Amino acid sequence: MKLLLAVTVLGIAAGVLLTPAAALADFGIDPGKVFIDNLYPGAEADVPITIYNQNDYTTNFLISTRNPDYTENGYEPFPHTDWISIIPEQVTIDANQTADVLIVIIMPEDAQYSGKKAEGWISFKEQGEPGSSEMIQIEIVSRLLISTRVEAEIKPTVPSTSTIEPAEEIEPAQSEVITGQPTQKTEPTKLKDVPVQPTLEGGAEVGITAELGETETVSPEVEPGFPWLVGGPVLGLITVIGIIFILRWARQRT
Amino acid sequence: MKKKVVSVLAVSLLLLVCPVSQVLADTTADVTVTATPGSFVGISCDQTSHDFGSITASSTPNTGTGWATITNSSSVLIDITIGCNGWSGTTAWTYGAAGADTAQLNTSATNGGATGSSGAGLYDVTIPSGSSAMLCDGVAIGTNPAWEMQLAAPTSFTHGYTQTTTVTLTAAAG
Repeated sequence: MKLLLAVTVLGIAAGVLLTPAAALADFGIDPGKVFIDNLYPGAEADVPITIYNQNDYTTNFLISTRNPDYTENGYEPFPHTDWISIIPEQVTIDANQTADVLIVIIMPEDAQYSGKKAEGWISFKEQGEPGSSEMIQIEIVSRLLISTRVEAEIKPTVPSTSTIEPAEEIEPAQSEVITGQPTQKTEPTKLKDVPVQPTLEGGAEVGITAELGETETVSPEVEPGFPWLVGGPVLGLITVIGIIFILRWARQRT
Repeated sequence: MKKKVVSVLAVSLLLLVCPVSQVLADTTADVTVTATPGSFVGISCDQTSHDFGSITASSTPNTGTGWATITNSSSVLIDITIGCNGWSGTTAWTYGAAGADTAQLNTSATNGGATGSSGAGLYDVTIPSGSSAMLCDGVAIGTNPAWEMQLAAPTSFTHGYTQTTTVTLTAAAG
């Protein structure tokens, strides 16, 4: 009986010792969700992310951009992953240590992605050992929720008498020809947000939001070399000159 | 009278200067980056692989309910999606609903939430190849879901080469 008990205990001990450690990929990242607002052509956003290697061994991590499995309400998958740089794309972290990576998002000067809300994912994975038979892999992502500034500028390089037509086609639902005046500035409306930003011949750009063929034009604005001369300041100056004349007139009368 | 003229001129100068500042502020508006402090996302799994062994046509062998546990160390609500990279082997099966040399994996889990698995042992979520499916939706802090897999074997075989796939569990802040 004692012999049987001893053999059983030895068997259990051997079984425990021979069972391979099964835990894998114990790591995390912070922050897991980042909002980047008001991104505009030429602008840069830097997002530092910390990787926590919670394994009891040194691990190499691979970082990359990828399309999201799903998106936040009102956001589309971010189509310009080429705007995102990851520094570095691989990092080796000692057991129970951390390391920072920097995510840099640069919107090109000539980008046509105004007034959009989009989501991109940054993927963090452990690099498996060569020849590893691991079938289950862990991936942790940081969600980047990006919104771009609404751009609607008229460049003053177009003759004021010319009629301009969009160089690129609008979506089929809005297949009618959209004509814009070069001195007009149209701004997006908040209908159901189907924004398009066609490039017009002659280098002018007009931001148009349209639904079912509708467009909305707002009061014209000019943006030449001295924008501060237009509007309030001119009226203010005229008012001041008027006051001076009235004062002079009053003085002469007295 | 001279004082009046001076003050009028001062006001006019202010009127001129103020709009200029506003325009400059508009053109230099900063990009804002907002991250919730301490929004840590981290998971691990206590299983690394499973061998279904020799299988027969049209069978549905499984790992057993509660086969693996995901340890959730996140400090925020998370979603867990699952996907795989298809079959590989000397001659690979096609990944998809059971057919000739065609098979797929199904899965289920606890804590499926609104859009994930309906419950343990149901194998109600197909693990897609090249994309992901929601397994656990809105996993609360400190909750560790258990999950399992099932193989929907081919209805017929033309060869007996070993097939492998890598299953990826992805955690994202909810």
